[in-house]
Amino acid sequence: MNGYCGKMLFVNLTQGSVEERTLTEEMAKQFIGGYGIGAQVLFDMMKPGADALGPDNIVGFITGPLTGTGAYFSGRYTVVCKSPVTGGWNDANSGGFFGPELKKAGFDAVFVQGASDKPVYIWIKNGTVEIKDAAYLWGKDVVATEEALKAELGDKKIRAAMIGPAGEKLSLLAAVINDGHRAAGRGGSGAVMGSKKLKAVVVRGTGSVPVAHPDQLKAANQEILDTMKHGPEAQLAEGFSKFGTTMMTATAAVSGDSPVKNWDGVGVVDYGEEGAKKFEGSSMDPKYRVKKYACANCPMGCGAIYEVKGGKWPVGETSRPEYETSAAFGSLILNKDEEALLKCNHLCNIYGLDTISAGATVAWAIECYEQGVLTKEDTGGIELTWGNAGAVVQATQEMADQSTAFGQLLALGSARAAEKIGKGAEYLVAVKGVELPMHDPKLGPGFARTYAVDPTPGRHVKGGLGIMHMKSPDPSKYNPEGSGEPDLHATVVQEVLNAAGVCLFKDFTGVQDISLKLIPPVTGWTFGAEEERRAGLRIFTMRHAFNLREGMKPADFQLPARCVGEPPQTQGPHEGVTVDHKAFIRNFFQEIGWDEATGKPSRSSLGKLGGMEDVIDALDL
Amino acid sequence: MRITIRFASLFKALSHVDQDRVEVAEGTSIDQLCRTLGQKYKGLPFESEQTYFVVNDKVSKRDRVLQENDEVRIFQMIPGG
Repeated sequence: MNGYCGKMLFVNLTQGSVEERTLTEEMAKQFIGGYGIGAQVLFDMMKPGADALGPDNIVGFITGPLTGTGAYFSGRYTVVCKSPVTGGWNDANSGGFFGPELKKAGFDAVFVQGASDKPVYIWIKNGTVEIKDAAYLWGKDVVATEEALKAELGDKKIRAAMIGPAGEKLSLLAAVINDGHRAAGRGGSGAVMGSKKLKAVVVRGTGSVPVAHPDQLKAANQEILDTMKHGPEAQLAEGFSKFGTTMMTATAAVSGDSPVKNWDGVGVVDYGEEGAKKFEGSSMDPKYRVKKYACANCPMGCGAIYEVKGGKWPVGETSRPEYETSAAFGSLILNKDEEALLKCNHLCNIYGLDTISAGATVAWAIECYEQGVLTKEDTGGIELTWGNAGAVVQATQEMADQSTAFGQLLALGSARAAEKIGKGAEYLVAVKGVELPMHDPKLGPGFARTYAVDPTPGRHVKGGLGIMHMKSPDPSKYNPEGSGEPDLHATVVQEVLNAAGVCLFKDFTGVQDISLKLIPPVTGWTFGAEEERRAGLRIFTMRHAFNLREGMKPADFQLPARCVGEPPQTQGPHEGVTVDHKAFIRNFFQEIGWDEATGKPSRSSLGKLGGMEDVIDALDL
Repeated sequence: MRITIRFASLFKALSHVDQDRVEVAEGTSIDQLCRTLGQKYKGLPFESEQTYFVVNDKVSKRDRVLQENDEVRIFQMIPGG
């Protein structure tokens, strides 16, 4: 089968067993890859009600059909599991080099069930699989772990998806990290690995992935490159290649894209442009940049490696923080110290924490402290005030290593922390326990629907109208009339992109319909707009069905009032803005044909879609 | 009258200019300001529908007439993760 290895690996850590199963072309066509195949497998193999941190949860590492084929922007893989944060479906994806290496090693996906009594890692090399002792790795950060694995295995070219100490200690903010700093961050996947005593999945391969029409793929890649370099977005692509997502940090802070002061502030009033400018690549690169960084098969290369040699928080080589991190540890907490940002980013990476939820949890804690909900006794003496850089670094260190009671509280994430202390819930900015990312629906109103309705709530990388709205200054974007059709279209297109392993930063090239350009030459399939729509809808529905089977309903996914302007802000760019989120959500449900109260799809719509028979049965539609 | 221009994100990256002060006639709209700036800063996407003009911290339409000492922030929003 072109574009795939045709094999999935199933490892049972309780039994210590390994099994290969065939990935059929029918399944590949229906669910593409990534979280599409992941959702189908977990829906099939897991029972509802499984403990997310117990052996019955399954964690999967899944590539897409483009991964490892040389197709541009195809370096991503996805981690799936039941989320210990939401109790429902979880997926998160990451770039770097792990995904392509897994396919070169012979597998499209690895699913891990059960739990080990002692720390282990899974070693996959050119089709052979071993479960190996990881006791000596337990407690090591991700950089040290990777170095130790390279030494043990005698191979510097291994790639590994792993957890740091945060995942080992079951922090609900724990991410899966590969290549030292690329993170499948959100939803607590790292804690699921930790609960299985699974330190890492380590891969090495020298194989290749079959491509149906190599000449056509080469031509498609060339078209992408030409558009990137000479098309209408060429200037943007050039800037993005240089500075990555940090190109926008200051702009986002003052335009109202970045949330400020735990979503209760106004950028131009509470934070200011000058502070945020220090967090832009153009300001930081001259001081800290060591080299550029690009993920596998990326012609853009939007990353950079920094080094902080001196100052209060030297960290050695570290990755340039992405925009999300810069806002979460910047405007959200009113921090203007870029070296504190770099330190917090580094701590999150090496301990294995999701930087969005980590920064947002600190923001929640600061507001609690400022409002007297948390005291100096609670924080162990940390003066946790807005913009106190030293306090933020200390709190992040303790959250990462859980060396103190306060750190252990923060490691739960904001929602569980509020639950544990029985107060502070009024300052939470989360949906179903997931802290919101750094794009304010008051600037991009479409984000409200995506944050509330996607099966993984509170995500900016899931489809919808948010990005389009955010990019447009036209105030008509606040009118939800007619939003259902374009919202659903954008959603299902993005489902396929994510499932295929495509990086969403392809947006910066100006290339349109990239799935339709790359999937046909790689797979040899007829894959046009209709096939894309059906696959995207099937994937979205399967992820949603996982949540429905867990007893979830739309009312469980409530948007926090601050993110939609209830009440509206009285100054700044969002003065007077309230997002009619209920209308955007209603329009989406009507368009997709789901019941707005129960969330259930109709039997007939799933019947027409095909490939959803198990969902129809399980949900008794 | 004098207007303060602040370039951000793509505009700043392309022009290497952070801030400028320009002299324009009374009654100048944002649209007319763009034509003036287009002469000075070649190749910047002033005409793009995705270009924001934020006058004194408020998102403004292109037909807005500017006043003495207005501050106009010009940028495009770039999604990122």
